[in-house]
Amino acid sequence: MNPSLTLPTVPAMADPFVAMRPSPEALISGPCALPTAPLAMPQQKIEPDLRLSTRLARWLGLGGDDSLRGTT
Amino acid sequence: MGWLAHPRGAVLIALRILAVGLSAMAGFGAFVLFLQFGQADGLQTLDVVRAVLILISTLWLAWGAVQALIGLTTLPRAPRFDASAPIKGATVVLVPVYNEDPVSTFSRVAAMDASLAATGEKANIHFAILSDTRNEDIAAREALVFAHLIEERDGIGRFFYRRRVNNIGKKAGNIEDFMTRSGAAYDYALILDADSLMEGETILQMIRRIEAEPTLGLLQTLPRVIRARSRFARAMQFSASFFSPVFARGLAMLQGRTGPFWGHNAIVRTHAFAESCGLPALRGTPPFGGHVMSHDYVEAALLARKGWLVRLDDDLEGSFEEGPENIVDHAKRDRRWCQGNLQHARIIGAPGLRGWSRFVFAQGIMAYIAPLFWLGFLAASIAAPLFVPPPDYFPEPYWPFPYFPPSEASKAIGLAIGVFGLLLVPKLLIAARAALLGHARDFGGSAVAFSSTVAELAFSSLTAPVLLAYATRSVFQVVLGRDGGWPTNNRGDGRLSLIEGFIASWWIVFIGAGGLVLTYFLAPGLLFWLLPVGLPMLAAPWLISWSSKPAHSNLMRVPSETTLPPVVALHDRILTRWDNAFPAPDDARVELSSASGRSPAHA
Repeated sequence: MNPSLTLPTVPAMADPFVAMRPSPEALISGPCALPTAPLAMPQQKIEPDLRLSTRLARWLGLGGDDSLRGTT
Repeated sequence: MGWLAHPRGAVLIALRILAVGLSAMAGFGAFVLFLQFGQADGLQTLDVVRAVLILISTLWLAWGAVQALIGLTTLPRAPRFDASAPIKGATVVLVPVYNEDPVSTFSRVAAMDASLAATGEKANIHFAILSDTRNEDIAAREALVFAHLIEERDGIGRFFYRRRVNNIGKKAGNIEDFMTRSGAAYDYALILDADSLMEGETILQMIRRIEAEPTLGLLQTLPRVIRARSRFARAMQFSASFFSPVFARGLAMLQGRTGPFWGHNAIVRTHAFAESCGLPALRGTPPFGGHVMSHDYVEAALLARKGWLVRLDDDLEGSFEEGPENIVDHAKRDRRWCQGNLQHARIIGAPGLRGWSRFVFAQGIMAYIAPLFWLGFLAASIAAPLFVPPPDYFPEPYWPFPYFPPSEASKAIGLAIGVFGLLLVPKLLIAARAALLGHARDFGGSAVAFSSTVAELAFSSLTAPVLLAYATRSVFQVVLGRDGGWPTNNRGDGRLSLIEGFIASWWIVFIGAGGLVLTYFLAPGLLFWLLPVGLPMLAAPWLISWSSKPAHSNLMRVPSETTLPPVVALHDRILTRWDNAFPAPDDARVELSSASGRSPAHA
């Protein structure tokens, strides 16, 4: 084998650029992890309340729920 | 004509009344014609049932046609806003992924970032890849390719990646997880799909538009299908590019403040989305209970319920997506959408929803149950002769001359022409307008565009019975809570052999053959009329296989094939490099290749 064609056996980490390059796992858990800035996402009422008591209360005008109407 | 392009108040109400009124008139016209036809041999109960079925079916067809006719009256027009205003807010581009090929998906992110950089705009825009991937091998590859993305685009501080431990709530849960964890860091979130691609300039215009309108909660673009290769996909691509914009224009004119959300290629105001769109699981178990499957329609309705404006801006170009390459993949996707839309029956009565939102839910449900009405009509028509009493040629006692009931066949022919007219006329008018206004130039010129329209009409007529069969099966499966049971596709380019076509559609052949044999014996007079439905069903395996093969015709050309959009060209170049850097492992090649997309030129 021609020795000039043999790749050097220097570990990759010896390259200063490669040494500075973080692993994918380190990136994902470090600088590329999602920022912490929580935003409340309250669960909405998306099903009609079909219970007889609710219907009766609504019919009698006792249970009007306008809380879901426009807020902006 | 801005007042008509974006109608408000009384004009909007009048337009909606006109649209619903015209559709109702068409439906009732069909109803009356059919009753007159049925009277020829004495009106039976089954005639009335059939008349009701044809009323509902025609009304639905007419609603689609009316949307197109309304859409033909105006051209897309941008709302008033400063298109060069400096961007103040922070935006995050959300890319939810689920077992997709990371090379294909993340290279799209690189292309969009490069496209944004090319605009020279210094807007604060981040990208967040939200992985719900369950396959560990693909997840490991995601991490690797993400690191490459970071390096190539110098993305530290701008690109983020998160993989969920579980995928509760699927895509809606994925977005919700982001909002509750990081939503407050951003003013706006551009929601994409794994196969979405958007021009940087389009992204900037969307941000400017949402900044210019403080009540705008969600802005939806009209994505154009790109990179279709097979006959089926190119027909869909042509339809989405040539016809859909006119149908979308009609929808945009009717939307008012309650426009659509199609789940991707749309920007939301994060705090509006968070305060309005927290989706609980529905009571009970799937298919009607559990997590909301087609969450996009529901989120649009909930934003509108809170008073936020939801708008489709159909004038925005540079928004792209990819579509299924064959009928089977289309039917699989449709199966999911069917379940999602039928589940909306549980939500349609939710308190406080706007009337139009409920109407949109009803439309979605109707889109999937409409084939049942046609099926019911056909079945009732085949069975009808069994219930017809023999003709009475001497109804008057002691009258010596026979009485021949008048033939009402002309009514049936008129009805058939009317129904076909509802299907054909809007598309022919769209082609005529494209020729008149010069839009056809982008589709190969007037002659090619018109020929493509005729070819698309022929193709959709042939495939319609097969697609309707799948849609009908989907409805039954959802109602019975069953799974689809699809054959696997062995090639990533979507090609299906005749055998694979047969495995996917043997039951359609069986029903088609059974229907024709039954008609021959019970109602031979109907046989000719049923051939356009029955023959494509008999040929379903061949149709599925033939339409999955690459298209080589000059017909059905679309603008993105003539001139590759800049972001698509960028993506092609990046993908070529990345494909070489990250060759797919052999065992993953099949799984991954189905999601990889590139332009036909690249392929």
